[in-house]
This record gives sequence, C-alpha cells and structure tokens, in this order.
Amino acid sequence: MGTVVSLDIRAPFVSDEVIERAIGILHDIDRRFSLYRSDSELSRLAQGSVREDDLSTDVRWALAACDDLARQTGGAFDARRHRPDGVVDPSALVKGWAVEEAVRELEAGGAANLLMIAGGDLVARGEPAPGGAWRIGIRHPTFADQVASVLALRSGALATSGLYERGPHLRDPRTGQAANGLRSFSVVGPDLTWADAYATAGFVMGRDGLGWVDQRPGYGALAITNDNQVVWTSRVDRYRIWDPGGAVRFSEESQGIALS
Amino acid sequence: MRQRIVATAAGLALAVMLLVNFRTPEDLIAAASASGTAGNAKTASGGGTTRSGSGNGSTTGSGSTSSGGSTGTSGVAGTTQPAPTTAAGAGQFTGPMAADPYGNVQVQITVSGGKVVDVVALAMPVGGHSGRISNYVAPILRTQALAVQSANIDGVSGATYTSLAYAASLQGALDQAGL
Repeated sequence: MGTVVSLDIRAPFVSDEVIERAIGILHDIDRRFSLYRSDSELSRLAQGSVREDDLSTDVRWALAACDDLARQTGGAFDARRHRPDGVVDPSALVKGWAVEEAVRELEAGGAANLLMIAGGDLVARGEPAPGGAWRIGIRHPTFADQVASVLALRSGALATSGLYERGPHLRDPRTGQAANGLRSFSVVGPDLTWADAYATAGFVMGRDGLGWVDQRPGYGALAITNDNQVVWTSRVDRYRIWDPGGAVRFSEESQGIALS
Repeated sequence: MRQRIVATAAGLALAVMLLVNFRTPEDLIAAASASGTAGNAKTASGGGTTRSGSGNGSTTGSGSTSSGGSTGTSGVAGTTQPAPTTAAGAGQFTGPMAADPYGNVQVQITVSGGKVVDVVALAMPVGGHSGRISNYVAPILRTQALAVQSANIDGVSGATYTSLAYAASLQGALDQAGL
C-alpha cells in the first residue's frame, strides 16, 4: 500500500534530472517522517529512543506547526492526541508540506505549468493549456466512481478529508470518537501544508469547520454532508464550475440552520 | 503522451509512487480533437468500447503493435475483441498479474484515439477484509486512472487507496499500448 503521487507537467518541460530531484525530496521526507519505517525519526520518537529536542529541524518545525494548529482549532486537529496508541503523528500536515517542497524544486528547475497529486491532495501551478485552468473533480464520498463537484484551479492547493475508504478513520482528538458530522471536507487555498491540515481539522469539526476555515485568510472550504449535499464558503465561488445539484452556498447566516 | 511510473517505495503516509504524465503540444491537439468522447467514469465495466471518432492520425509513441492484447485471462466480464488496430494506439491491453500482500491484481485498459477510455480490474483480492476493500476500491482506482486521461478533468481530490501491484499492472498495460 502506498500513497500514489502523480505529476502532470505541461510545456515548458523540464529535464529528467529535475524530476528525479523532486522525487528525491518526497522520498527523503518519507524516510524521515514515515511511521511505517521503523528507523524514521518519528518512529524513533515513538519508540522512545530519541528525545524530541534531538530531532532534526524539519521534524521539530512540523511538530511545532501541529501544536500551533491544535491551539487554533481548539484541539480538533492534534497530532499528539488523534491516535489511540498515543503515537505523535503529524502526517496530515507533513504530506502537504512534502508536495509543496517537491513543487518548489520543479519550479526552480523551470516548470511553470504542473499538477502534482498525492493521495488525493494536490498543488497546481499555471495552466494546463494557454488560457485554461486545471479542472479538479472532488470525488464523491458515497458514490466512489463519481465526482461531487468540479473546481477550476490555476495556482493553488486543494486537499480533501473524508470517509472515502476503510470506514471512519479520522478520530476527534477531543473525544476519541470517530468524526462523523460530514462525509467529506475539502479546503482550497494557497499552500497545501495548511490546506491539508485545515481539511483534517474541518472534517473533525463538522459543519462548524466551514466557518472556521472561512476565517483563515485566503482559504475556502467545500463540504459534503451526510445527506450528500454540497456546501461551500464564499471563497470557493470563484473556483466552483460544476456540481450535480443539491448544492448550498454556506454563509454566516445559514450557520447552525439545517440546510435543505 | 508518455506515461511512466517513476518510483515506488513501500510504507505509507508518504510512500511515493509516481505516475508522471507528460503531454506534448501534439497530444493536446489530439486530445482536443478526440474530446467530448473522453472516457468518463460512466460506462459500466465489461469493456464496452466507447470509441468515437477513431484515432485520427494523432498519437505519438504508437509503435506497439497490439502485442499481448490479452495475456492473462482470468474471468473477464464480457469478452473483449481487440479493436481493429488500424488506428494506432487503439484496442485493449492487459497488464501483467501482479501480487500484493492481499492477493493478485490485474488491470486491463481500453484505448481509443490514443487515449485510455476505460480501465477495468480483471483481478482484485477477494474475500475477507481485503475483499471488502477491493470492492470499494476498484471503482476508485478506475476513476483515478481515467481522470488523468480525461479531457474534462485533470485530476481528482479525495483519499485514494492504491496498491503498488495495481500501479505495476497498469503500467504494464500502458507500456503495451505504447502510451
């Protein structure tokens, strides 16, 4: 099992060496952060064979960023408490950051128009063809082979958390229970590091997550409710180009009101 | 269009498996002229070859004569007649059987006009927990593979579960198709 990373580069193209360097960044971050590798820094932290103060700068930064998010979200996002086994797991933030780092490398190498998708979370740059935008489907959480909405993205990031597989797998760190207020929660904005973390937090918060993301400068959210309605915040308006109906625009006025 | 899986690694959170997808300007023109047909995830599995305007002279790396149009034959829904291979890069191509810890995976693609219009899993793990995952996952993988090729959608957001074996078999099929 693994996370698939796909990369779509449109002209101007870059050399294979540039691509290999970008891939190398992903592998390097995986090697240091993956809890599925017993010799990664995070695994050694979990085993107690290294102290947090002795971790590398990047790992300490990731943990500090997660701690800050825990404060911002009132504990809805908490890398130290969301796993039943107590293992510190910042992967909801690290994956997005890793993709941003790889994209930076590709841009430094000359790529201007690209789409990198890692396990359903993505960073877009430029245009797929002159004058066009990247068209991104948001997978329907209930009907696996359909998309629930389509967003048009130029430069930006999009992350989605949801009940897509293996049943509920996101726990609410505040209660220890599975989060079940929504089917899926997507966040669009400038940086995948935060979009990814906000999507996790927003999904756990349920409908309150829409208002919370709306208060993050530059970020918007689109959620799919348990009755398969699509609900979104105003910043998503300019990206949203299609959804199949049942869509409700979220606003402060509608917060707390049953949307129908 | 050239597609290749560049790197694989086991693990999870960040395990990397890269499907690099280059498109040349000629590909874009070909995609535009063949668009509108683009395999959306609608067609039921089983190999209904939705071919439309045949692959007008497009296609770049079409060298492959439809070699190995069907290598492994497990119980496939609907027998599949390798499409007339007049148009370069058209027909059905079956990837190798690949093993993962949960069972065997084998993928078949349908190509028309130099584009993948359908992806069907001929074999996925069955039974038990992994079988339940397979039942759910097969359509997701299909959507993912198609989305990359679709003229209408460039990518899909939403969690994906993908086995390395699936990617390996898919890559084998893409290689045979010369894509």
